[in-house]
Amino acid sequence: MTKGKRTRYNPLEERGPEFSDPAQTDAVAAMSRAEGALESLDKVERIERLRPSQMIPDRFQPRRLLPGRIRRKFFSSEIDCYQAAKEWLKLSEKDTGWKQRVQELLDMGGSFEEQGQIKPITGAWIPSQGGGYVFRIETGERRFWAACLLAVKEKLDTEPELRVEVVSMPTRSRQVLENRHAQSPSAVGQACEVAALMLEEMGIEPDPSITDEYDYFKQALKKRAPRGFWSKLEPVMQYSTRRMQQLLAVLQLPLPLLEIADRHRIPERVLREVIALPEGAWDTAIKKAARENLTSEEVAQFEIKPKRTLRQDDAKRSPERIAFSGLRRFARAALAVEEGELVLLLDEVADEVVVQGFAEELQPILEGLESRINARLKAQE
Amino acid sequence: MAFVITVANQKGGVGKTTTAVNLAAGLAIRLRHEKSAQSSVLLIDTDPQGHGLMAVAFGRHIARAEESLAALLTETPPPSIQKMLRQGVHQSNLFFIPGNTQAMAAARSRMPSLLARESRLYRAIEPILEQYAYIIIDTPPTLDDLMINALVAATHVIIPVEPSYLGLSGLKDLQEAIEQVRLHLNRENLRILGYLPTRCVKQRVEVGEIIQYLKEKFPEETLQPIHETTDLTYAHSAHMDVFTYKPPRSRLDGRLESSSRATQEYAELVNEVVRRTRTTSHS
Repeated sequence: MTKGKRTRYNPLEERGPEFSDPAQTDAVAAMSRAEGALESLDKVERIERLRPSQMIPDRFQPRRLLPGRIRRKFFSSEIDCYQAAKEWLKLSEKDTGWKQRVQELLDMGGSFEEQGQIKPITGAWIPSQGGGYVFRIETGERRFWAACLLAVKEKLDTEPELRVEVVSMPTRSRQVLENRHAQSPSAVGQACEVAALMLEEMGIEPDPSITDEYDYFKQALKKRAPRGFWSKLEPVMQYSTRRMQQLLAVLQLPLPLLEIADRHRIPERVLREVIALPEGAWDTAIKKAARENLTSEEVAQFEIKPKRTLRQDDAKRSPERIAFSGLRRFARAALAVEEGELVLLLDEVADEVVVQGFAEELQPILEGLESRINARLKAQE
Repeated sequence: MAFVITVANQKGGVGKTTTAVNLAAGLAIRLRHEKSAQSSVLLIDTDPQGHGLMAVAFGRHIARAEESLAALLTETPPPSIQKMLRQGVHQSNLFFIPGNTQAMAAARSRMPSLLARESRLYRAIEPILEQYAYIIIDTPPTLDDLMINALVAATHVIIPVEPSYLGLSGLKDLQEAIEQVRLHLNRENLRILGYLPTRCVKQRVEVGEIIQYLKEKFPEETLQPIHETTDLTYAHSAHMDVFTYKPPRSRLDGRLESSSRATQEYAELVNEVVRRTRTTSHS
């Protein structure tokens, strides 16, 4: 304070550096620390440790991991997570496509042991049948399966424990963002993501009685997107509206073909060409595209072979063989009857040939056959 | 939404644990037979001794401290209660939270220093109230923070009363504690479901006099008495509820009672609890 100049402390003014009461300064500092602590309390995560048997993946997660048959048994509670992992390991021994995916997960599980689990699995508790609760995974299903596969492979005696974070409100957006960070989903996976976000926006919850989860996502094809939905979705999916609509159209494929397309990660542009073909050709086209890694141009030029109308046997036989076979049957039938009945048989056959309308055409053929047989018999004498 | 019934009396040996265990088991059997939409029952034992849990799931009733009830009461943030729920051995729809004697004793010592210590149990069970029809809470024989937590978490209180003059002497303190919980801890709807005369021995003259006194003083709340029988003692020794220990010939019609007097009297209690709770509503 300078001599002759009095300044008054105004508590409404911000405290400046000239304010020098140490007790008050400490109080201010303490208050700031408390406020800071309160702020950080809102962001305190509740990290716990759970065993895989206390958890369950989200059936309606847009990106599928489990193979179809195992998936159905797992989500209908026929098998638990370890049995599912065991079947998956077995399948991967025979199927190179699954082998790579399983190996990636096993490598992830191995990294948990060496470096610890870096990111917690997120999810929420849901009531399970019978009065208990199960932790449904929102993000981190790959970590879940990595732990299960490794536990089965290494025949562990006790269950591994995974770090989880309980969230109050799981969302599809967080699931979709997590999927993108982990590994870009297949075209089918991305189609399901778009569908899942649209259905969530419209408040359409999955029906637990649905047998195949693709049926839930396919509902989006019949719905009109809410106003402003596409522009809201662009930053989440990082795609233009047109691109997302193209992805959604992939869900027109029937369920078994969606599974194949997902497993083999067939690109959207190839699937677009498949859908442009007649529906009867989709099955062949998808399987060929998966097997031979076809490009979209190759699918566009896909030939649709007509269906065969001949009997399969006839297609392989010459006309001579077909004629001889028929004549042999006639000869056997004629030679099997008594002499008196043969006349009746021949009368019947002649009547039938005339009635059917090919008597005039047949007559010269039969005369030609008779003269040839006579010639050959004479040559044998 | 669950009815939360605390079984409380700060006098020891009056039959709190016996009542809590048999009431929980009886409700579970009855609800299972009714095939109610909500048929699960949860038993919580806030007594550090944890004797109640022995009759529900002996051998599985103890857990590590961080996975037991003590962690729910003392940790911030508390662990998920959902991961602690375990299924009973005798009744498939009877669940419990495992205990840990040492951890509960430590929790009891620590609680006076914790903020919001009276409502920790209530906060812990809040996320699961929709999943259960009834939550039964057994309490320790002292009017301490653990019992206060059980009263704050409750919608109803059953007070077992040993029909003796000593048995009546502590009632007033408990009634005052309940009144304070109602007034000062915003639990205005907490009500006394009933006074339950327990360990009744017919031959003792004062038993009849005490029961008569209770009926005159609390005509609406006095429940039918439970007599002292060996079945109750032996059931607990066998780590069972009395309905499992002395089952009827057939449970096809949802029958609880058998030839055992104990099963008949506790079946009557179960019926009365169901009747009284279904005629009230949650607020």
